[in-house]
Amino acid sequence: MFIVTGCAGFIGSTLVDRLLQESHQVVGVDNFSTGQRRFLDGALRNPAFRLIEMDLLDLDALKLAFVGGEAVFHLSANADVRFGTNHPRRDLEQNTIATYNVLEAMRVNNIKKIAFSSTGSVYGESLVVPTPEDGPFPVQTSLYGASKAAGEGLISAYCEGFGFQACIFRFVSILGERYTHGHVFDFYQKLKTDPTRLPVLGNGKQRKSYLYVQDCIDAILLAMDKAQDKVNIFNLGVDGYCEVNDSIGWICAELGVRPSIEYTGGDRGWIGDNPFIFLETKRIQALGWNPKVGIQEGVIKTVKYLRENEWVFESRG
Amino acid sequence: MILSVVMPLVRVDSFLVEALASIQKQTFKDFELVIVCDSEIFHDVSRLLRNRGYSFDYKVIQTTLRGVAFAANLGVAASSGKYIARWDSDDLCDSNRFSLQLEEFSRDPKLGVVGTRVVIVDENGNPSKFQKFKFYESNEDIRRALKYRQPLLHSALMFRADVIFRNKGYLYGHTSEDHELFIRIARDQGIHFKNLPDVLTYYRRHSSQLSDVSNQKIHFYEIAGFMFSEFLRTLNPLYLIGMVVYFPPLRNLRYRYRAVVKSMSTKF
Repeated sequence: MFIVTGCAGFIGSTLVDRLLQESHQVVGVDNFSTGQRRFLDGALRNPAFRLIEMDLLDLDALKLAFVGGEAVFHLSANADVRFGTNHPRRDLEQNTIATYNVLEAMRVNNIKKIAFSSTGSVYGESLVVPTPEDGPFPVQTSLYGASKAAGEGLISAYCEGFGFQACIFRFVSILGERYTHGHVFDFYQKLKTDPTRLPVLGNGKQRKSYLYVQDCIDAILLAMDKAQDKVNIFNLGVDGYCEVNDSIGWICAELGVRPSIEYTGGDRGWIGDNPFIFLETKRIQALGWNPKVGIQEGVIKTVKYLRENEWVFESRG
Repeated sequence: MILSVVMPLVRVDSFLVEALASIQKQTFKDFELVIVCDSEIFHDVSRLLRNRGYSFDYKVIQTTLRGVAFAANLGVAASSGKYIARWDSDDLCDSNRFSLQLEEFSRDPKLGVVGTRVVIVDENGNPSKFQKFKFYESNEDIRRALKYRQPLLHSALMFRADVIFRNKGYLYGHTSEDHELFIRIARDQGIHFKNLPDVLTYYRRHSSQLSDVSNQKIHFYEIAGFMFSEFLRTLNPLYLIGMVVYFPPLRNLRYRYRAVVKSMSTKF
């Protein structure tokens, strides 16, 4: 039986569906703070899925939720990088302390295997691009990245101290069906309100890399199956990047709008925004993984999904 | 704390060492062991736990007052777990016992008491050829059987702690305090019972047990009394059948009748 934290989230719910398709028993944990119940509609019809609605900060409840588990996919997080400085405690609680609680619940239940969704943000503003997993570990530039780096540290220590095996995934931004936050979401929302103008944070020249959600799930499952080391760290991304301006062009073309672009200026959109994210992915590729969907196709698929599921804008406030 | 394991203890012997090793091997690790023992063996028990270096938390409570019901209540009162498992010092359990019982609780919030399938073993741990602990799995089957026999093995059970507290713990009985508690718990139809179908508990029968031959008569008189009392309360005739089944003179008659039938059948 697999346990998925953040099971009602974008990546979590997609992973749940895939695990169920592969005939696994799955227990999903979510507090629905940002997760969407509708993402679990299919899973909830499957008797092999059990949903436990709870907060990961409730350690005793978590210990009970994990009873009988074989491995944990810990995907739950506060993924709101941009507004981290508005509520400094949130990243600490939901990313670092929640990860500690997950590890404790695993320890008392004798569960030894964990997959952890970390982030490319842990590299801060890396001087090595494309950034490899063992690149220089720089100064953290966001509370989100710092809280995930702390989570990675705890996981490594539990691997050493309690014989766990971990796969830590440092993602670029993920796109695709069930996408509920990020630049495509923001641009779509703004254009929906006013298709004639589009405010853009920064100068639009930030270079970013993206990965399609199904490719991401393929990589997670492959790594969990094949990784052999005690602590296995993988970058997940495509072999390339685009400018924010490219992305704006694809989104506008897909929506059939031609807004005037209004840049706020500067080479980054907000405190902690890394103007160039591009991760080296040779390590995961060595296991036999290759992304099937490129950045442009991923952006377009995401726009199509949002157009067909505009309810996500209301549910995300 | 999620789980407290309550173990009233009357002697320190090799069975206890085996039981503690069995507890140590449990795959679910977030529990405390609460041992309630006589003052005479308190130091031996404490020394044993200290010297063996078990990784679980434990409390040893000494008392000069006797009685299983009292000791069990004392252990339950000292427990901090949301769930309480009983474990006798003679018995062994599968390493997944706690894990599977807790999993069952998390599946069904109505469950108040979860047991397991039980195999009776001898002093050496070998399954008994003659004695079987009859298995009832569902809430309905357990509730029905509770009126005329014992479908739950106390040392195989895990309780929701609030169920014990709400029912005011163990009230009566020299060695049958468990059966009396089950009857009271069963009065609330909203509390469900279940025995897990896997063999997770090995119940050891040996000569020095409290509920062995010398005490059996008192034990059965007590249960017959509980059944009669419950019949008066509910007017459910099944309790009368239970009383007849347990009442020692009638029980003896039944055994003699069976022995006669058996000897006749072997003769012819």
